[in-house]
Amino acid sequence: MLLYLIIKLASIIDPTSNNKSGGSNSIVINSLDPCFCKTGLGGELTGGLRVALKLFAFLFARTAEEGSRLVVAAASAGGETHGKYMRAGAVQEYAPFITNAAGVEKSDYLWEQLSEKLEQLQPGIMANLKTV
Amino acid sequence: MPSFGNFIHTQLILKIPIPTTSFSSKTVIITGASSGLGKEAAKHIVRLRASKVILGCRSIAKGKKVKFEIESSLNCSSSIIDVWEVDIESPSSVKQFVDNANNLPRLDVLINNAGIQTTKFQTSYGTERTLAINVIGTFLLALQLIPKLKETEKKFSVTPHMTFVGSALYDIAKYPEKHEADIFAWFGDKSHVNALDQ
Repeated sequence: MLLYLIIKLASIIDPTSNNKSGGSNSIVINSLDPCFCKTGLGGELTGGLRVALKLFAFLFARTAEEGSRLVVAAASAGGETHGKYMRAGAVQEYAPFITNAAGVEKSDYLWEQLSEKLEQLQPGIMANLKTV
Repeated sequence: MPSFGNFIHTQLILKIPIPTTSFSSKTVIITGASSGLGKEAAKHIVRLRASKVILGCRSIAKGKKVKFEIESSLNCSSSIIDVWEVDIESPSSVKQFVDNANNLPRLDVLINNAGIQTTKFQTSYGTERTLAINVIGTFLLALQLIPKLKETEKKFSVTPHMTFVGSALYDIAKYPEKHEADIFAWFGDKSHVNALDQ
């Protein structure tokens, strides 16, 4: 759900800078997958799930420090990452179901739902986008 | 979902380079910065010479511990890292945080890292709690900081960044085929929630 909303937000903030490499002075909005890392997430799991996660982490997990390198890379990446999702240090194309017509419809619908929710929690919040 | 081969490659083989891009003169906010990815990202960004790094944390005590840990390992000035309280599950806490951020001379980077994972069903903001925090709470904070990022862009002719920490598992999360008009309320019903799908 997060990705649909990030795509929508990026398109509202700056629909043109998408795919442009660098040069653009607009805000770059992107997201990333930090890899499967050993972090506090999942810490409240119990029983079999906990054992399974620990074993899986022992076999495959990277350290939080390694994952954080990807976070820092995204936070300093160029305009070509605007509205995009990064994995393993590079932009990765979205699965088609995110970007096809049905995906766009979901983005629009979810954005509407989110806007309504946010306005209830913090009246006037959506006006922050109008200053753009 | 990544293929098994891709997963093995990304987890075990790929060399992830240590970031080298300078954050010199930049002001950076990282949420969920008291542990895990947020804490380590803060360490890198301080090393990369940011002039101000704000650790947004639910617990000031934990945040301060991270601040001192980074300061002693990098031997940097105590004026760089600030610890600010923020709980993205609380609109008033977010508002207070935003007001403080608006008083900063500039804001170059916002890293939306705070989030939870749980298998317990709980509700918040009228929906399932993972969605409430990872989606609604995240946007509640992010959207209110857009004007400050825009202002920084214009004032300093720079390219500010807003980065969201997500997951490669986005495509196994099943989007419901059918739900009520209000999808958040729909997910607030326990029978509609599978912890792996959030």
